[in-house]
Amino acid sequence: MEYILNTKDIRKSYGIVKALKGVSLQVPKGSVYGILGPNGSGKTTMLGILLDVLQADGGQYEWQGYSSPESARSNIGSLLETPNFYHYLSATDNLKISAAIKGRGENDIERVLKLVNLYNRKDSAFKTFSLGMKQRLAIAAALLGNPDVLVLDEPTNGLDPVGIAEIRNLILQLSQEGKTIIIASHLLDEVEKVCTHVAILKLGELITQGSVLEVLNDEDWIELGCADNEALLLALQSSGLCKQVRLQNLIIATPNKDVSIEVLSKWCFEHQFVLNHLVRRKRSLESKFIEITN
Amino acid sequence: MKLLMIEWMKLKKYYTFWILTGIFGLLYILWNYGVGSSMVSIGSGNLAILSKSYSFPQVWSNMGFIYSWFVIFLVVFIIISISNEFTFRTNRQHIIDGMHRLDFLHAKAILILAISIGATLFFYLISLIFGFAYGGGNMFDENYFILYAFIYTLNYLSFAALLTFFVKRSGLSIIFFFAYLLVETILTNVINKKLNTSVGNFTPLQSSDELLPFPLLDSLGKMSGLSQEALPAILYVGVSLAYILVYYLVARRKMLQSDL
Repeated sequence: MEYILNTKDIRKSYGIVKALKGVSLQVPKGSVYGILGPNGSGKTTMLGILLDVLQADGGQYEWQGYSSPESARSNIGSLLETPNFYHYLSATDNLKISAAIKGRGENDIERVLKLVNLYNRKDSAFKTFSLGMKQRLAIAAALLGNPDVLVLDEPTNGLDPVGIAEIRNLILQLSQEGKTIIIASHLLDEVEKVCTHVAILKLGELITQGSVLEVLNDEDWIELGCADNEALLLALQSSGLCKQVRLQNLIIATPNKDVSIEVLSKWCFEHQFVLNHLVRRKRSLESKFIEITN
Repeated sequence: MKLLMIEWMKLKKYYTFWILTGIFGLLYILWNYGVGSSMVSIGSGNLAILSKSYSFPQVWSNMGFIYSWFVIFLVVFIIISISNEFTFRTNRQHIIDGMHRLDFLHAKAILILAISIGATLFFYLISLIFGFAYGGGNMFDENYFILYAFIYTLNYLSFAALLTFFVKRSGLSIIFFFAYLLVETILTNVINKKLNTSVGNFTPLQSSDELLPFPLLDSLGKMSGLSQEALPAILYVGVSLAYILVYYLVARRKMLQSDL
């Protein structure tokens, strides 16, 4: 597999606080890579190091396919922590400065402002913007020049539900265009809806990483219900079909790998249990996340 | 050049920039006009402290001394413009957008150089006008004061910039700057008096102050023999330039090593 970013054993301390304890990530090209973790787990520190605003205490990283770290950064669209703009300048003037630093022309400014619905406020000073508008301007700046790689730190911060949905769709659309997108977030359902890969950080340590399917592998369960759940529970426990069965209002069963929902349904019927409830539940990233990080 | 362009994009619509440079320019002209036309004087009767020597070559030293005070407006501007980068966190954003850490420092250095050149040219032009309007003589006499004014401006602005790189906030930086000016003046005097030398003049800002001294006190001191024999100005030029180099190296180290 081709990787756009490789990090090896990145370490960083703030005084006695160890923010990153040797984190190694591999971000595949074309993936939507979610870096997850509770507040203070080191997500922003990691991205700060990758974007050279923080100095790592140890370890290496490499953005593949760029001649220098500066060239990598100017070709990657990034939003880190807060929208950083000149308060007294308009949206357009601020983006002109971003474009100049990135070494790009100003002809893309109109497109990105329209993309984030700020075009009608293009001449307003940044200081007059609401939190959500500031965030959208930061996203516009990251999209300048249509970069192949995006680094977005909590991109939906400060946005209203409509704004969040818009950004989600934008990310999905960019992903379909083949772009690599790295997202740090603590909003798991947001990440779950868009990511192809995840890395989970906890207190500066990488707990797990891989494709969403790998990380959540074998984690489906099936809810069953019938007139006599307790009898069904006992029967299933002795059936050998399930790894785990418990009763929690309904029967929650984790079937063996080769046992499909059809097999289970058929087995119940043959054993005189007429089901009134049969649902396959996909394990949510949230429950996995809580399990892993606790 | 690209870096200067980027700095210009930040400044051209920044009112504070125009206000502070405007105050610097206008007040400087007005003050000299006031003194030159005898409307402004300090002292009583025939004893006027402010020099009305607007003939060449005295015009250089006389207006140079007045200029040295007005540079403070430019100092305040430099502090505000650099602290803005920290307040708005645009220093971070520049690096994120692909600027090299050193280029951020160099952009500020180039801005300071450009402002110093601009202010010195302004000093030169206004001095010429006043020299011709209120005095006369040979305009090429002693015009090395133009170099002194440049070194002085560069030293003051660079020192202010370095201070702001560490303090980061504009209000505090301005306060620290003035507090430092007082401390340095005391230090200079204490060293000079205790050791009976002029070594105290080699503190960072005093070394440039010596290039644009108070003409009246300077000549009084020399006449009365009270002050130490003046050291050659070229020495102060050298020391000032050395300090500017040190500021740069310290800022460079800070820029390369710190978290933004």
